[in-house]
Amino acid sequence: MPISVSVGLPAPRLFRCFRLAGLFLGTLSLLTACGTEPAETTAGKPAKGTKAPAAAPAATEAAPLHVSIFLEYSGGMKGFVPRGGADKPATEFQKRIGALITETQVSGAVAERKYYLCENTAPRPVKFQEMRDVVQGEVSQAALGTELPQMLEGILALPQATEQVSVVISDFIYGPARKSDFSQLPNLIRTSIAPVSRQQLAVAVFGETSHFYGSYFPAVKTPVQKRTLNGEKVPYYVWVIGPPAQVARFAAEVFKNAPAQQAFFGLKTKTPAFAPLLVKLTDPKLKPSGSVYGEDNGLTMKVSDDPAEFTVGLNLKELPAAWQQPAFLAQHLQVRLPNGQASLLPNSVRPLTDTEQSGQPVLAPYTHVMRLRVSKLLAPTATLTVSLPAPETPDWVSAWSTTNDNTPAPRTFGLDQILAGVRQSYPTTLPSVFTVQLPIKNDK
Amino acid sequence: MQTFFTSLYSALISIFQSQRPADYGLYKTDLFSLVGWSTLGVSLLLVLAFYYVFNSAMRTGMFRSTHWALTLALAAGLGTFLANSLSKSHGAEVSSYLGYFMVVNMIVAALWFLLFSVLLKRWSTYARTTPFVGPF
Repeated sequence: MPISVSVGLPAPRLFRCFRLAGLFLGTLSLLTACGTEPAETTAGKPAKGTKAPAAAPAATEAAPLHVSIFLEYSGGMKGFVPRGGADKPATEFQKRIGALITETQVSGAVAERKYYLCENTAPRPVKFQEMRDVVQGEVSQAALGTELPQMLEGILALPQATEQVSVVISDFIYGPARKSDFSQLPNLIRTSIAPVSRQQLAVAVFGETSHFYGSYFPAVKTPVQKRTLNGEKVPYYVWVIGPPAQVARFAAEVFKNAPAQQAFFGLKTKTPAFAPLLVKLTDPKLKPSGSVYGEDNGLTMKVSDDPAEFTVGLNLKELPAAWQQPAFLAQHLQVRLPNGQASLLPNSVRPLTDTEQSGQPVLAPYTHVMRLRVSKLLAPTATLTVSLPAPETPDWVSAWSTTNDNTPAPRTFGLDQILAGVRQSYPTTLPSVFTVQLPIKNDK
Repeated sequence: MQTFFTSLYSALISIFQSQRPADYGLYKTDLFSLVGWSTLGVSLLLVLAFYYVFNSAMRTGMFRSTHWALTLALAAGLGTFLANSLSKSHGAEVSSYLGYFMVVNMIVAALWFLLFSVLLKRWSTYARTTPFVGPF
């Protein structure tokens, strides 16, 4: 292409410029081909930066539960299980406990189930059908019954009782035969459940009132020893005793339809799946703000100018249903950051919907999200912890307690003292239900 | 070299935006060095093409400063394009940070082009004084 030094005319120059552009466009396509090729080869290898930071270990499926159900079957319990019929509705006890033993019998979460009737000190093993017959009122004979501490002691003395879930269904009316025992109610209960203290088992207490048809034996024997009730409501309780994580699982997965009155002692779950959620979110409300990014299983952030806010996901499916409520979590969850300042944003705890979980796959491993704010960070590195401290004995317990149950009411004699005995089996400061940690680096 | 690219790009982008995005980890581990190397390579190829293909092997007469400036503009444009396409293909989210990364990479591509031009132009047959005479 012989081209002389161009003299003057702008039109040929412009034309040459186009030719030049054409030549370069050719090379451009070559170059972009080169440029994108390494992109494809590197896409195959796992890119470190794209992985979600602090990816919690995949929730391994917990071993199935071994459950023993103990039903106190004494004269005082018979009124909960009247023989019904088409014209008589079942009592609350029959509905709830019938559902509970059925769920235990068929649930996939339960590997082995045993049923016992507590008629005297030693629990008597029975078949599921016999237990069901008792609940629906098909059996007329009832034993004299045994005192509450002896019954609990007998249950926890069974082999493997402390490695499995024991479910105790009773009215928990404790009127000691010896008058002097009344002064020692909490201690007597605590002694009878000594394995709870020694091995730090968990106790979950569920309470409900039920219609009652039959002989009612109050703990306070004056003025009358027994009354015949015809449908008045009196309380009964379900206690779940066992290793903390198993009790939590039983409450969450088997006793799903539990009554509203619940109290938990020494409950702990396995460390739940937990991670900050930063990328691949479509919901703008979940996206982080401020200067924060994931790195080396933790977060790196700069909070000197603006606070960093980000969403974290937690899998709380092992918590009892009442504890999965956003209001409860918002009130009880604690966020701590030594050498810094972190907080849980108000009204940010909420359960995830199925649509969100399927629409944004990064959310799939979690049941709840909440938003955390870090506004101060003084050290080069720090560890943020989110924990759920165990709540103290709930208020309904004192409301359901009475010092005289001779007149039947939806209250139980000395319930507060009985549960005080349970509470005293644990340290003054209850251990946290769970604690999760997140390493944080200061971005300078 | 990864550290070099990371410090180069973070420093330049922080002129525009000091806040780091949620996927900054991806930039730090992958994108800065990948885009950095690609941009450097593309600028070098364009310089080689300009001085040794079109102005040494071939006699195209495209030795003027205008031609050189157009090639520089092409390098800058490719820098923007590379930053955008490589980042997105590696999973970076659309953000203002990515926008500034594109702007910065445009400048970086132009700077590489200028640097390689100055270093390599003296061995060109027809364009050894494009865009200016010296310094070698």
